[in-house]
Amino acid sequence: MTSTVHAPPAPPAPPAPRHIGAVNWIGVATLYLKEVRRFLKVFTQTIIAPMVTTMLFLAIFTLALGRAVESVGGVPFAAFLAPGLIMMAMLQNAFANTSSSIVIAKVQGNIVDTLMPPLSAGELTFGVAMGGASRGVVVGLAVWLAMSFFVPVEVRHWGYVAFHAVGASLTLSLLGTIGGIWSDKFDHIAAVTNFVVTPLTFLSGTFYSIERLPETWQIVAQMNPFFYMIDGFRYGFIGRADSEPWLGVVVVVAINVVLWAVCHRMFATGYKLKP
Amino acid sequence: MTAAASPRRLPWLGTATVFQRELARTFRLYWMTVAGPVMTALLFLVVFRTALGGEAAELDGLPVLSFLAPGLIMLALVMTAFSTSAYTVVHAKIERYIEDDLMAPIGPAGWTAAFAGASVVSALAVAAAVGLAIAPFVDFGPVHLGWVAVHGVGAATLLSLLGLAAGIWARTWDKVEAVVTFAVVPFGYLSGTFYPLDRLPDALSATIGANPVYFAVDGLRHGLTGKGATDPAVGALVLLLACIAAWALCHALVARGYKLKA
Repeated sequence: MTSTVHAPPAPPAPPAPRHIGAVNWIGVATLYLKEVRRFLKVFTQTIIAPMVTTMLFLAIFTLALGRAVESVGGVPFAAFLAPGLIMMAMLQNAFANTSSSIVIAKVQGNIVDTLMPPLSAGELTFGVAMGGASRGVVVGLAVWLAMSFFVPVEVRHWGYVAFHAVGASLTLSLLGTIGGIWSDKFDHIAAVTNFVVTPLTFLSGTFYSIERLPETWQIVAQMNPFFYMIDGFRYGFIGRADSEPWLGVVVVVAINVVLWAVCHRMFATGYKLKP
Repeated sequence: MTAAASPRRLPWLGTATVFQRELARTFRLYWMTVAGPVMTALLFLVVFRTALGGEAAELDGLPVLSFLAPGLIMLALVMTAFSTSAYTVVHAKIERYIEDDLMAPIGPAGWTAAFAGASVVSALAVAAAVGLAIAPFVDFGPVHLGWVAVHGVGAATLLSLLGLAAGIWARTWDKVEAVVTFAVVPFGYLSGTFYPLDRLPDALSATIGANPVYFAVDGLRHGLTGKGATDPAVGALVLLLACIAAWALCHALVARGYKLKA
């Protein structure tokens, strides 16, 4: 019996290191797709549920107030309400997407899988924030579709509708990222949602024109960025606004720039993300 | 030597212990479980008031806010009652400490009473908090405390038992979440909470008018404002019958160990 000594098989050659240019395109795309698939996988909770809730709001407000408040600023109440509700759904869901994503990753410990890959702070911000903004826009489209069966929702200025849909979703998505990074546990982010985001989305002109507010509150409203998002978005539908439409655009751009910088800084320094 | 507790007393002690633990769970997070619904009710109130402006609108012969207030209280009560017991059971199943609860020698009746009872108390506390928070802004009419209590306790019991059944049935968060979003929230919002039912198309109002939550909302409205669309005694009877049916269902599910025991 011949004993042939077999040489152990040569280990496979390690893959050639991937060259990453100025931007890690594959990494950013992967992170973005992960964020999008995360909410698409549970679309009943992330898209259908807000659609149903928003339709319920439409029903209760038109049924309860439709006779007393026939029109707001010359527009039928339902037509006034519809864009406000679409925007409210977008705001709440864009915030929920990024905040829940980050808090869950932190609590479960899998945030390292997002932080370890060769992604820069800018790339992390982009991937996460765009994922949340996408959720906002998708929910907005779903709600719009559902509403169009009951309320005439014609668009007058497509530009304003598109700008505010994307701009506001991005703002809340960035806010959700900041909130998520800041929160140590679910309770913290739930408190921010309950006591900050929900009231702001409710009280910033979703259901009424701010002309209805007492004068001091009108001034407060004009310092509230949520007001410009709702008002500008509604302007795109009904062609009537409480503020100058161009001012809303400036406010939304400015707040997005600021929030983006904050997010970028948080990812860059690892604030509450890295030990 | 202290005498061992007699077997007849045991179920009470066990039931009371589980009841206390469940209550502690709810109130440990009071600023979410209590302050959250209070916030929601106040937001609705502000929005309705502002949207109406100075218009002296009425719903069913009541000022809008007076019509609305009982609805908001009942909405908080219904949501809390259902979700407290439902989430409790699902949580116990997911975290796998349901065995500890199932092993307790308290029998299906003690089990059902402990879980549903804690949920009822939570819901009543939340409803009371909402009522107190909105009271300064609303004119209640002549209050009949008896009807308030009957319909409050009736609705809390019914929804706690239904929540318990849903929690036993659901294996995951998603399922119980879906029941809340697609069944409890719509029923809570549409059952005459925010508007008189006659504003709906006939077929819809007949369907909704037959559900116990509607009777509870209307009964509470009768109790708080003196005006309701239905006879509060009929509503109380409907709630009682529905509670008996829901109790029987829960008792049977627990006794069989449906989706609880392997």
